[in-house]
Amino acid sequence: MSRILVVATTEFLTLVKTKAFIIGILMLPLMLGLSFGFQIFAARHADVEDHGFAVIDQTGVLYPTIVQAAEEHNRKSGAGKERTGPYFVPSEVELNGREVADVKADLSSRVRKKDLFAFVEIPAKVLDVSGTTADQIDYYTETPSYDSLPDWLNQVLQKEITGRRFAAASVDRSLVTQLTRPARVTTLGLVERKADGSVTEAKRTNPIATFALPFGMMYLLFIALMSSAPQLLTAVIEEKMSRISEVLISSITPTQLLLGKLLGVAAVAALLALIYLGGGVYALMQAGQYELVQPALLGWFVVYLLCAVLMFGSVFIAIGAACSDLKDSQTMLQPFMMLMLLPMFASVIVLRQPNSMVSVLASLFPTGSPFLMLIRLAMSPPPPMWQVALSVVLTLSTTALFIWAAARIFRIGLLMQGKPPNLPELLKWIRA
Amino acid sequence: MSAIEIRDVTKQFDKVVAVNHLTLSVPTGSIYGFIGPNGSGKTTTIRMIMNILVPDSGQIQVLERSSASQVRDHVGYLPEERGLYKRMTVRQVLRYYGQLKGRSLAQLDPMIKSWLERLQLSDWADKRVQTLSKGMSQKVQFISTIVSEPKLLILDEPFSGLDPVNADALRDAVLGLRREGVTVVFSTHDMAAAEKLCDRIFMIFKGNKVLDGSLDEIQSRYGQDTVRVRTGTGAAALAGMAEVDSYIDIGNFQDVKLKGDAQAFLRALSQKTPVFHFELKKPSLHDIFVRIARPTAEDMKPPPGAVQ
Repeated sequence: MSRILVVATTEFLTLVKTKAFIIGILMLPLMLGLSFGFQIFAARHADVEDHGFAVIDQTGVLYPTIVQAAEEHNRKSGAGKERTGPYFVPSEVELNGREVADVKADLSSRVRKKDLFAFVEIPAKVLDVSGTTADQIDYYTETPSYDSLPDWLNQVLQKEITGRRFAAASVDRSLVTQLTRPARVTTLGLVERKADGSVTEAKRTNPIATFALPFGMMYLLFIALMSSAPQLLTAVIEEKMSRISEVLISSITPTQLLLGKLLGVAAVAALLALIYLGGGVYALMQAGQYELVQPALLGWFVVYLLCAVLMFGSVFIAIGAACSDLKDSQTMLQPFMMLMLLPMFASVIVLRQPNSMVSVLASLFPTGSPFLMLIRLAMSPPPPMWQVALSVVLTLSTTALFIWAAARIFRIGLLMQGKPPNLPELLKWIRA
Repeated sequence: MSAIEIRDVTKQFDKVVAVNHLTLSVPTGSIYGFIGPNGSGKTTTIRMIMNILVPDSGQIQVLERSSASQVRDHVGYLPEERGLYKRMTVRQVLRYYGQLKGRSLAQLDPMIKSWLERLQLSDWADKRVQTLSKGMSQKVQFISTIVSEPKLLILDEPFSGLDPVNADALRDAVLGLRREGVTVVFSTHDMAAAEKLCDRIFMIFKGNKVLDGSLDEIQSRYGQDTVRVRTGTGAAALAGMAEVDSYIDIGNFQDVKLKGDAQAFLRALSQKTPVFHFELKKPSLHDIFVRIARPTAEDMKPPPGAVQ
């Protein structure tokens, strides 16, 4: 055991002292922080242009409303360095007996010359009480992807036009508003009967708890696994190519070496998870989301993380031992990379219907279990305990099987050079 | 008492017999040289001793146990193609390898200090291995093999690639270890080193043992048929003599390989010309090696009396 610990400690220290590990630790929070920061910055500062647009108002009454609404919008966008949004600058176009088509052609030229950003044609019929949905307002632009201006116009004009239609039809708008108020469906948890017989209030479901927490836990497990286990592959190939393996196995057994390496890398994954989980728990506490910090869930996370690292780590070691260079190993690795990625795809189904038959089976499948059962454990209601226990038993058994097979391959492959073995040869090594 | 006992061991890779019915005994406390051309089976034999390869048949005992695996902590092994962890420091590597042999840091640190000083590497103790020269790396690798104080030391080509100064330093170290009672087995192509260091020499050729014994024994077996002469008529006197197989003219002297008895040749020669110098010459290990390994059907045969 002490030799295994010597290998594990050396592997751990070698891995965590690398620049790649330190950069890896900083990378996830840095990327997340940069992503959020950029979105906030972009939302505040990306669109601070003046967007001039012409209005062909054939109703003859709506343009003043647009001007007034634009002034209000521009005032809210702030001024000078405090400005956080675009200014909408309307200008009215009089037809003065010209054909609408000619006017639109002229306005299009102005848009092309960047003299205008867009123009709008409001037909007279939009105010008719007996009109149809064909009476639409046309917005012309060279930049159809920019939706802030048409969205704003839609909002301003819909309110004004419907108000005018109600007035024309002699209907009290405030009454209509009152009668058409929405009665939304709200998702709640269950109520409970207390010991004194009273019934508790149901709590509104927390969107973070419902989706973000389960997905976040699975993603974190995936990141911790991918930041640690694949390093075993390169380490074993490097040792094999530089003939260090021969010295090592003259001192300890291949199984001791394999177990030491696995333990070392499991400790690296645990350290990564500890750092990220610690950060996550701190962030949730700061945000007042105390109910999301569940010690039992953190415990399950550690269990499944260790299973995943040991299971896939042994695969990486076996492939490293069987191959003589990284290029060969990539080909052999592909089926196992699919096994690691499949739970990411299946997570969509599990998040939507955690207790469906497909979700239950997927979360019991050993290579998917660490990811998918963890999702289900983070969701409400949690899965039945027998399913969790079964998943742990199946995952641990598969992990033991993988380690056993990897040890057999490791023992033979470590001293092999040249062409990597094919599947029948690998199976022969395992049975040898 | 034997540190290593190899009994009738055979190892085959596909259809190639790498080691063929080999029997060998390495006495405790001796320095045993394994010589042989490339691909003759030296490394395979060493790997079987280390239990890295398993023999197809036969038995190997190491330090009186049935496998080197049972005495790993007492066997130091320097493989032919060696490597060190490039990103570790010299001290870290030596500590790691020593700990894998079950030694504590308290035991290892004084040994590491002492050996680094002895091989003039103290200034490099905390430098990364990747900054060392090839010769320095080789010395570090050697220290890693002996830092755990093994009883048996197996060195596969320990002197290859070393400059004469470093090779001498390593030879001194090996001799020092022998004085401390360590059994040393090493394979080499350096015949001069083998002659200087080895108590006994074993030569393997195409998987077969062709030599095994002390240098004197081997030389006397191979040395009966060569004489060095100086005559009144020089090399001309040797022409046409029935006893002469071949000769090399080295100026005042001629080295003569004989077909038969040296005394009969002396009598015949002295009848032809005055003989000023007549010396029974022992062939060097190099000569014997070349003679055995030379790819001619005649020379590949071991001499009469060679160990089978």
